[in-house]
Amino acid sequence: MQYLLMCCFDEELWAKLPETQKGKVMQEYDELMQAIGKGGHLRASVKLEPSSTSTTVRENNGRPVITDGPFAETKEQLGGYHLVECKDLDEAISIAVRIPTIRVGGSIEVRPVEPRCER
Amino acid sequence: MREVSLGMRPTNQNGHFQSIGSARWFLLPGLSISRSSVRLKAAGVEFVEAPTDYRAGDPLQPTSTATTVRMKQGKTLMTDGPFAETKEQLAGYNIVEAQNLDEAISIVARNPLLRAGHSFEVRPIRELPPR
Repeated sequence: MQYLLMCCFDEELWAKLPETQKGKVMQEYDELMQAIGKGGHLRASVKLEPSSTSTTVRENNGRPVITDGPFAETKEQLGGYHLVECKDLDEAISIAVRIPTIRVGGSIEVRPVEPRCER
Repeated sequence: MREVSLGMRPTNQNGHFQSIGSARWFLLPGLSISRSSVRLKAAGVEFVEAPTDYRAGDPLQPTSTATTVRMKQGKTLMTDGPFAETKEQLAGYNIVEAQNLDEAISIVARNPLLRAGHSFEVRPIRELPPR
């Protein structure tokens, strides 16, 4: 079963963290990625540019409508994700709780991928 | 041409990252739940065929299957549901290769899910240092 671990955080809060703390979090992050990669769970990872670089496309009366910004102006924004192969939700959560950004206010949304579309 | 990062990094069996190209954009189809499946069927959308500039993507199961993990005062806290209770929710993602934002938008504009009430958030993928 594949799960998407969506890494979300308050971008303003993250920007205010001291550089040393950010550096420590990212180093721990790197170590975790190597560990779950070796464990055979990791299928893909993506880090996104900040939501200030987002453009959202909708359709209105048959015409595309393009606006700056993310699809929802929420306090927390998606910053990236990891696609993991796990036997069940518990195993996916056991990886999510190790992601170090949760200790600095981040959250991880864990959601199963549609099974017919698993890679 | 704007270079937009090496985005999708599938791991090999040793857990090392491989980069598979340049200029990738991340498209987030946000689905308005209230008009999802009915509108999808009305628009004749069952499954969207992958365009040639498509690199990766996965549709997700509904947000009712989501669990969100946070930490409060040193303890992990798990809640049912997505990270934000918004009217539109993330329905999946696609990674496409495009030379610039305009090209990424032109790919989105052809997606039939737009006509079924989806919105697409388009964002560049950040290049990470080699591991």
